[in-house]
Amino acid sequence: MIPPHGKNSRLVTAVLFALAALIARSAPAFADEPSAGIYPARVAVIAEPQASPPLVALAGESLSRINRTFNALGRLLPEEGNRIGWALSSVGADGAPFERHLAAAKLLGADLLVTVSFTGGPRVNYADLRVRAINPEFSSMDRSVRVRSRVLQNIPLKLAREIAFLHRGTPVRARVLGRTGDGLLVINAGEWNGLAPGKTSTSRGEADIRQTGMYHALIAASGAKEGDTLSIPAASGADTIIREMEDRLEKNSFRTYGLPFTLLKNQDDERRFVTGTCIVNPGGNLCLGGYGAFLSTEYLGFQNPSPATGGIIASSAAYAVQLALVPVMSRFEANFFPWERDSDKPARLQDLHVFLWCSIPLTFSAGFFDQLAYQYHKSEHLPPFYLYRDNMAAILSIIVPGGGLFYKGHRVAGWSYYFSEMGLAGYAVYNWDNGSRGKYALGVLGIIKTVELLHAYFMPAGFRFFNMEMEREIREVSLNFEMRPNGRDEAVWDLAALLRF
Amino acid sequence: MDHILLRMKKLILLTALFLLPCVPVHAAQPMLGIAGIDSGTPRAASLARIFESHLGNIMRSSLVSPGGVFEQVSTGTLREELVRFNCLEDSCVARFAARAGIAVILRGSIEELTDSLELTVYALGMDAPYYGRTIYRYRAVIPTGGLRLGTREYSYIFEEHAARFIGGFLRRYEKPLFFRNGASGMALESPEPVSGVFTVHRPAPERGALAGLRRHYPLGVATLREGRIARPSPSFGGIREGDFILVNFAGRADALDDFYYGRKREIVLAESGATDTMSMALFTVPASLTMPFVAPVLGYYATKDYAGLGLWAVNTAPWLYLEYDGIRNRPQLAREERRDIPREVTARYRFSVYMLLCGNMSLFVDAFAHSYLHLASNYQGVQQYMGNSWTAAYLSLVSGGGGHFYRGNRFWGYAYFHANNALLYLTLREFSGDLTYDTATGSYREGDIDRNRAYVLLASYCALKAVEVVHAVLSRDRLQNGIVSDGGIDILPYVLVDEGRDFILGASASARF
Repeated sequence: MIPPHGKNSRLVTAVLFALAALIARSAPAFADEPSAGIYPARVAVIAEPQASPPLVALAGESLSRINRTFNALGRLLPEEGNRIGWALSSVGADGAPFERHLAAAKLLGADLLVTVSFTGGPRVNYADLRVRAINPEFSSMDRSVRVRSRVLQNIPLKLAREIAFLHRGTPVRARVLGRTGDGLLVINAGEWNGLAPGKTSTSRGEADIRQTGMYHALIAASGAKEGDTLSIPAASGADTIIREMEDRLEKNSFRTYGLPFTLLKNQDDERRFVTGTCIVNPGGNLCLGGYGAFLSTEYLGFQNPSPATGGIIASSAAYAVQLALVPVMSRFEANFFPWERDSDKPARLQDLHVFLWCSIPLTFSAGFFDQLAYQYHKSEHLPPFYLYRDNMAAILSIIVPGGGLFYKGHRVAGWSYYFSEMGLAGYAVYNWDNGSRGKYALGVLGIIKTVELLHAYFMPAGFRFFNMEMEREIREVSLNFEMRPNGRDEAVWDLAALLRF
Repeated sequence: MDHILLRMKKLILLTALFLLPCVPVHAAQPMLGIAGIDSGTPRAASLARIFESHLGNIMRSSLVSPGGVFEQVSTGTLREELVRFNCLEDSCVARFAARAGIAVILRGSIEELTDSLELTVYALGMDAPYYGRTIYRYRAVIPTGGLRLGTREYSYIFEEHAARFIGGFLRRYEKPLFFRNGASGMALESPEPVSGVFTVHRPAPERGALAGLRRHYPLGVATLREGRIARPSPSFGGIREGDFILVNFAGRADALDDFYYGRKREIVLAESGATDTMSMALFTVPASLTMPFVAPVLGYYATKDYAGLGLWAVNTAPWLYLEYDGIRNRPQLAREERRDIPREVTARYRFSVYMLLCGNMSLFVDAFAHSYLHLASNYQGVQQYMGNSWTAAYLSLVSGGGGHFYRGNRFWGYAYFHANNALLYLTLREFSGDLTYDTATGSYREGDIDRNRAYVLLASYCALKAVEVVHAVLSRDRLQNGIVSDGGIDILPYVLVDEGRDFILGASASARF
């Protein structure tokens, strides 16, 4: 145990001063350290200078996120910030930004250059990612991507996701730096690249990794010699990173558009959704069939909503059919209530009558979900439980015909399932004892229900504002207008029309 | 005079610092530096300072450092210097640590997410046998949504994670102890005497070109007594200066785990004794009777435990149906109508009575214990009635999986719940004979019972109960904060649609280090 004061304490203090001095001595050395080739293949990640403070912060966060992604993927080691600073100051301020960045990257001996630039809009922010291989071995990574988002924190995540996509299937490239006295080869790839002791295949035949360090390894490989470049297949974890980024994109988007962070701040949106579905909406519909579903949406916090007329007509029509179908079929002779049987209401008609009345709550729920879907679209909000939307959609579809599709914002698909399933179920009940018709109808219903469940689970959500946050690059014509300083206290005005293909 | 001497000392020190060559600084113990926990927001930055402070305190505590594992570099100074010289990347920090003779560097980050914090912390080893490799990586997602968390709670939370990280790190860390040829012969250079059987390693004569890697070979096994080779001498011959052994600290890691588990219990659980178990026993029948309504509505739904509600619905459906059927078609009705009574009817009825009186208790407990333990794990006040081994034993005894649900372990809870119910029902069935109504005598005649089979089933049931009770008593309460992953390999199946709209099926193995 180290005592807090005393001899050891003085020793540690002295060591600290020594460390400070070491850093002070080594800091300028980082800038001109000829480290090319000793470390793994390297990437220089540079952001174009930004004028507004939010974009400066965005650029900083994006650089950090991209660098962390490169580090996690273990293929190209990001250049250190102090070295990039030195290189940029060395190449001067003349010329277009990208050319200066390219010159700086070459000066550093980097294998790949990644530049990012940002454009802020009134509602949507854009980022351009440009990947340029300096070492031809990485030319397959050459790419230009434009991403957009309304949520500022999502831009760095989208850029990082694109970097992860670039790494799919990319092997580790390592150079043989030398040979040790006992015949092992030293390569510039190590644990950081995902290598571990054991046998592996390389582009130069079999190799036995004997020992790994952070960025280096000692290997036995008879087919390789000093100066060779080896291609080693090792898992990059790109798919894991992509999933992680998408998970964060979803969470950020939910924080921006989700009810608990907007309309129902500090309230329990999930409980309101359940209570609204089970208690408020059925009550509202009993009072005002069809329209009650729309009124019930206010319970989830929507301010001054307007109704989805089509949905009200559909649910009112279904409700009317459920109440009036049997009376109409019996030419208004049969008793109105399903539990009363009379001579004008044979057994099969009574069965249908019971089914129609029993399924009224499903109609109310379908109408409510449809109205909610409309409000979500219109006011740009995401429903409760949205982070578990696939499971939630499947659960709702099990209970309510079309429920999962409504939940994900697909109103037409929801009503299609609702009417087809309810029609088939009614037909099956009415014809249950009429040969095999009823059984066939039930079989078809089972197939449609299965399709619906799969559809509800796998179908992406239909909310445009959310899908924009999850989309990858955009390929549309964009106009770009910007002012940038040229380093001589002069302003350069750029106007560009950009089409990516 | 003193003043002049002091100034001269400062001058000499500063001169020495700038003349100092880049050689590792010698210290009695390997040096450990906490090189900063990165953060992106002001709140995360203040939490990072709390975490760093706990890391340092625990590393210095008598739990970790009796006899010394590391000498610690001042965290604040190290961070300030690294930030001042913009040395923020792992590559730069590792290079610096290697030059400065720091054996282990701890780094990490805290990131704020929507309703959680993500803590990542890892240890890089600079010396043999690591040469820059990651010794241990710890990642925890700490929930923050829907919780009242102030400075005190955050301090508790980060102290807990610091202790868990250090425990995991000590379990994996292997410290090299070198042999030196001193005045009294070849001996291990260690502050405390080392005895036991160890593998002796020898470094290869030269370093890997440019890389600083040094290969070392296991020479063989040797017995050490008080830091010296004990007789008889090992078969691989003599020890040279520079040979080393690797010692680990798993024992200290276990002690650290035990200490912090006990400490957390003291903080978040009220003292609970045999009287609480008695109260639980008295409450068993009403709780079990009302479980089908109380657990889903007042338990899972009220506490927003929707996953628990789903599990409850799926797992209890067959048993609740059996209960319902047992009561609805009870043997008394058949007796009134003088019908034959199959043994299944008798068994179901008896099973229903068991479930209503005490068998449902386990899920009643789950509906509430899960929520209480969630609060306890996040330092949300002091929870009553929890953490009592007597209660865990009692609940396991009277209901399937009750003790494990009480401890917060749903997997084992449901496993015992189903095994207990299935075995009990089969046992009851085996002990029940078919009852045939004899119209001549006006009474029932019981059919044959296979007693051997019945007693085998009963013995199996008793064995299961014994295992369950012991398992529940020995289990720890699920009090851990957050969701932790500390390395390992994740194997995940995947289905992808490529740009040509073709399906790609496969599996991925991801290792984080």
